[in-house]
Amino acid sequence: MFFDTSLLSLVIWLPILGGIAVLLNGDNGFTRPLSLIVSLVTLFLSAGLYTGFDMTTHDMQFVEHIPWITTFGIHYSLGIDGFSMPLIILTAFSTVIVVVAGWEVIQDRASQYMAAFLIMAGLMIAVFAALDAILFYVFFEAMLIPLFLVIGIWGGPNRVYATIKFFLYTFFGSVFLLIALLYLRHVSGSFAILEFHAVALTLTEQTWLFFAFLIAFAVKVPMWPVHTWLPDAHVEAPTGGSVILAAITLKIGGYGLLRFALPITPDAAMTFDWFVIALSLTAIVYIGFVALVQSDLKKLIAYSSIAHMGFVTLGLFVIFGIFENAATGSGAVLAVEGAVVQMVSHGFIAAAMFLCVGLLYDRMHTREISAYGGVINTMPVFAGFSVFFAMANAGLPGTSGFVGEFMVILAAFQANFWYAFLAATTLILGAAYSLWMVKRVIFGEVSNDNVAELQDVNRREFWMLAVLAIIVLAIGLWPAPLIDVMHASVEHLLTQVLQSKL
Amino acid sequence: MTGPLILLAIPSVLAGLLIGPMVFGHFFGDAIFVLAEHDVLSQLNYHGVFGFMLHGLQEPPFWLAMAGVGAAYYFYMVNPSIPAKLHRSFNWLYRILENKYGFDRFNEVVFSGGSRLIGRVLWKVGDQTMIDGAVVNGAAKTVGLVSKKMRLVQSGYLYHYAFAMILGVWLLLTYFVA
Repeated sequence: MFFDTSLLSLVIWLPILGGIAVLLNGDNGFTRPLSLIVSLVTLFLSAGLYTGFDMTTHDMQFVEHIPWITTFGIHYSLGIDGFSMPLIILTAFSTVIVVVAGWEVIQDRASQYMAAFLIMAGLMIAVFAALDAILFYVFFEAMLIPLFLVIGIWGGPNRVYATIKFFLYTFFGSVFLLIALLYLRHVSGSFAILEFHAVALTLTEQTWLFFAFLIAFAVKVPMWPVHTWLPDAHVEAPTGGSVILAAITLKIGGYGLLRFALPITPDAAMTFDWFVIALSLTAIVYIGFVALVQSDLKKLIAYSSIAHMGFVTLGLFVIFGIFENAATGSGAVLAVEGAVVQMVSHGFIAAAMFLCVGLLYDRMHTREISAYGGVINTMPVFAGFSVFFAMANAGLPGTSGFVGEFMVILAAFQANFWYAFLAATTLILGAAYSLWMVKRVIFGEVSNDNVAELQDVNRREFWMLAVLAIIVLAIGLWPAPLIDVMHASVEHLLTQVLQSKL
Repeated sequence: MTGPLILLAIPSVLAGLLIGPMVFGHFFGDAIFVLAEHDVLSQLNYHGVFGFMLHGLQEPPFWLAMAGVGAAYYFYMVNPSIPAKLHRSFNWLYRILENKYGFDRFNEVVFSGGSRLIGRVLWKVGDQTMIDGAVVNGAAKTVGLVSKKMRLVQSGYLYHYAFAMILGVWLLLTYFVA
């Protein structure tokens, strides 16, 4: 009974309470096994959200609705649809990977490290599940704290600059979000996000709200030109921090645009779609070139993340152009589904890429590309995985990286040939920066004594990468299970977006 | 390596026997569609695979290929001084061919080098100088700078504060009265 009606709460609070338990337990032999168990049980429970999910409806499922602060009409209100469910499972999965990745590597304050990630998992799942605006906002902000600590405590030499930059950047954005939410409450008389969707707004109101949402979520995505916090944060973050940052927190930006900007302010979104498309295409092309010249492995992958997230925002905002040109909305469905597939796929690929860099960093303590060369001679198994993930990052057909990009490019054609043309340059630029990096790091003769002494992946590292490789390949070859769950929600979103509020 | 190569060589010799049903027959069914007016294959007179082979042996392409084999044999096995002489007297031609008409070099300099140049400019000028330098760190610097100046106002002297108050009252008065 409890399990049926409170599964979402369980998936949110189990990792948070588990994290607190890990923290209280302190650093001893139980720290790591306990963390692993908590994360595995969370993943197992989140799988229940998939098996119990009704794909035929766009309605919110696993709904929970309890008064929280009655004076202000704030509710503890949860529910998921086809957009949030895959992202919740992705979060639960990434947390397991992070716990495994930190197993031997984190020796300093391991319990605090594990606890931070477990608590963050609960907070991020809550962000995806929240149906009350204030609940969303609280978790949206709370999420910054563990990440701030993770980078600030276990980070690299320049971590203070990176954390403050990251914190101020995101905080700057969320102030506008808070104002927008309060204004919507003023208009609709409720904090329920679904009621925000229904409220009628003039174009002026929508425009202000739209840009408030855009600033808040563009920083998270991150979109050009508010992206410069990401490379710094990634470079300074420990491997686990980079994995979560790339796999989940960026997705919250895309999710926010889906959940708030498009359905609440559809007319403003239609009026300013060119603006978001221009920023997305800039991200794809400009950042692709910038990624090419990076000499730091993590910076290169961070920039490549920004370029890939450009596809998400592009997919979400080409829909208006498609509706203008095409009689049917099938292209728009393709665009939005492509955007969500890209989010999930990038979650796995970027996580894997950062894990690969982490494995090298653990051994050589440098991220400079020039310090490597010929790694394949000493770490053949690792080299195999790295080449595979680099190919996936470049969007090789058969990997999940291809599916989302392909769908978005295909859909963009229906809006404007040049959108598709510019977006497709990523296939060249992505291949260029990914493969050139692989060539310099992995292939060739052993370049120095440090590389000559490298040890190949151990069993823990092997399985961590193998699981990710299997998933990347599985989504690449058979994306249907992922696309099917979101289909009803995508169609509902499109009807909302097409319904003018004027 | 020899084993797989032999295995590959056997079908490559024999595969031609299937040309009748594959190319001229209906092996591919509707998978390949050709408009009637573009159907060049039907204009060939195909009379079985051996006729096809004999016909092929009588045509110039075959004899040109054979001449190439013969010339290569003579130049490099019988009389290797000839290519060496050609190399000396047609050095410019040799270099053009050796460098593949310079396309590799062109790609390396223009496309590869150009992309890296664009990337470096966008990164250094766009990201580091304009976005990070001017806007992000610029905002922090501006706050710091303004605060530094504002701090001087708090001198601790009572008569400074009194004077500031009088100035304020005067400003308010002029605003409301005038």
